[in-house]
Amino acid sequence: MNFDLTEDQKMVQDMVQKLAKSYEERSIDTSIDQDLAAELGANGLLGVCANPELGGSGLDLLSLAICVHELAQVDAAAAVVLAAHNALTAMNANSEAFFVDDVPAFGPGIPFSNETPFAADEGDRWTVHGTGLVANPFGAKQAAVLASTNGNVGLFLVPLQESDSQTPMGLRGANWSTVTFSGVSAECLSNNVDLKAAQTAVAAAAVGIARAGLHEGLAYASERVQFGKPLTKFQATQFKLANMATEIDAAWLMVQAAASVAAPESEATSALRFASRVANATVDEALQLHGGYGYTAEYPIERLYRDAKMFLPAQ
Amino acid sequence: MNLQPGPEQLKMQNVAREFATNTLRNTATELEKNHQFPLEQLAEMANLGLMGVNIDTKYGGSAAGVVGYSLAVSEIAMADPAVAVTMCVNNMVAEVLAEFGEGEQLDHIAEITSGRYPAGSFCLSEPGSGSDAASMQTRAVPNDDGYVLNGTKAWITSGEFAGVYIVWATVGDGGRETISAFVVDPKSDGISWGKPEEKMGQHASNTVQLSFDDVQIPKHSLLAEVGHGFKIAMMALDGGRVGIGSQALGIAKEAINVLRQSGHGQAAERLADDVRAAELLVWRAAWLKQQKRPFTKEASMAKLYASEAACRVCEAAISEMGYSATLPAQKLEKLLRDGRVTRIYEGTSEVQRIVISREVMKVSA
Repeated sequence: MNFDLTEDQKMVQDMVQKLAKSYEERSIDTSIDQDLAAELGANGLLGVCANPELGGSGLDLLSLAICVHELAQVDAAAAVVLAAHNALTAMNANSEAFFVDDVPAFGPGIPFSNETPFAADEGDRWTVHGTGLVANPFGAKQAAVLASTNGNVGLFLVPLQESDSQTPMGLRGANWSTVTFSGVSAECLSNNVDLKAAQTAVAAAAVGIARAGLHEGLAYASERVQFGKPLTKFQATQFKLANMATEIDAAWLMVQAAASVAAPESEATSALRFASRVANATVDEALQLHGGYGYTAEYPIERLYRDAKMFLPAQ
Repeated sequence: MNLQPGPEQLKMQNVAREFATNTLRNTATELEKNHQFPLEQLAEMANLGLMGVNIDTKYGGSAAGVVGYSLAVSEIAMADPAVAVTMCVNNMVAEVLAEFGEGEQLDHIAEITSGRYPAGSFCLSEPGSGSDAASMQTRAVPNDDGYVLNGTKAWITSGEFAGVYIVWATVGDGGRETISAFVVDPKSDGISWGKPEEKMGQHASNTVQLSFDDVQIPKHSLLAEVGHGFKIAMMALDGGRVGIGSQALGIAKEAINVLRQSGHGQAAERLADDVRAAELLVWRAAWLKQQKRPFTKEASMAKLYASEAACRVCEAAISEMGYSATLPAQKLEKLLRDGRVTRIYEGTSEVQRIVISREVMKVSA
């Protein structure tokens, strides 16, 4: 048994932490910073677990979870796109075009949908049918779409035509639209995707949001004076902080456990479910600590609260 | 990172699991019904090395580390939480003696690990001083022969059966700064106990109030130095929380098993998330202690989360299964009665939150 990160994992953590911090002051509720994306690419973070022969970094799933977890503490939308891109597209990529480091692209866009589209094998080609919410922060021309294929879930590259721009409750920087796929021809990247990596990586984003929530809640409570003392001097506040910190640690441990090679997919499913629950509970309490200010865009907790809601369907 | 227990740790777990399955599962109901202290079972457990899991072999311990200890406690608790708490306190007393004892004080350790003492007792709480341990009223007044102890200790696990007590008292009329720990022979003149508390659960564990009435103890009873007592107690409780967290984890796991075995697999899956979270928090605290790194916050998190999860899971399981689950034929009602106290002893959930928030706010300051 060993709860320490490896030296390589610590290096990755350190790198993403520094990178994310340098983007902290920018607007992150409307778009993902192109320079941030370029820098992630330049550092090999658009192919964290991808095959080195295709230009990927060839690191383990925990390294990806660490990247996502760190980035989510600054920009949850970027983190989720990074998670999905890495765990779906890059891990199933068949050419280096998916993570060339000089193009600021997270694309193809990533679909989020309750009703998984389905893909039909037409003999010489695949067609994809259905609708989905697609994140496409950098105007990619095609989307990587999860679609069911006779009992499996496959990953398909689908050309993006008409799309209906949307402003969901959270993760707005990812630039969302609803897209209908009506039998378009698609390139099959995999007809049996292992969802463990995606669930683990997205769960890491949820934990990052929770951690950011605790950070904001604690920072505000330390400064806000009522009844002659900072909120942190009230035990009601202290107990909330204790619960938040405990649950965040638990969620992060679950993500780390799910990331291990030996863990079955069910462990990732439960990590995602748990992390989503913790993210929502944490940002909710943290917003409450802010009082009325937490309800305004002036404080990051307002965005974090909305961002966490995007994980609710995972529960 | 590798969050799986290693072979040595699994070996200890298996020893405990086998004993729990072959013996404790068969005796738990009867012991509970008769409010019977499990002398035979404890003796067998000592023979298996379960009374000094994290104790050096030179004292007859198993030297299987804190993770091995945690795994063993959970296994025992799955079968009989009352036996698990007795095991926890025995191990904790042995560890305190190993850490802070010297000379003859160390001789008690082998008595515990060998089972020659059925138990050891940790005498900190008083009727009027629970969470606020430093407000204790028990006094140790120095005289030519050592110290004279006067006071009352409450909630003493195994108090009637212990071969050794560790007793906390202030020296003279001094305050918190003079709190000291003493290694005391339970047969000393002036020590008496009341009838066992009638508890909601854990009937097979013995819980008594102890009176110290002009108890003369020798000079060498003093553990470490005058004034070191509070620190010793807090350090022991950090380790104790790993034990109780592990106990609560065992209770939670057993509740999940009951659900699965009675055809409520879906509810079991849903609740199992919390149990897995508890397990990882408990194992992390155990591992940190084993690595001799700071683990105060992590032990409190583990104990808080695991104990709250244990009760939550038991209650959800009862809701799921309906009225039949409130009857003794089902194990759930006993698990909940046994489990409820894990949120109280070794520091209430509120005390854990005080400890955790102090650490969390320290980081930001």
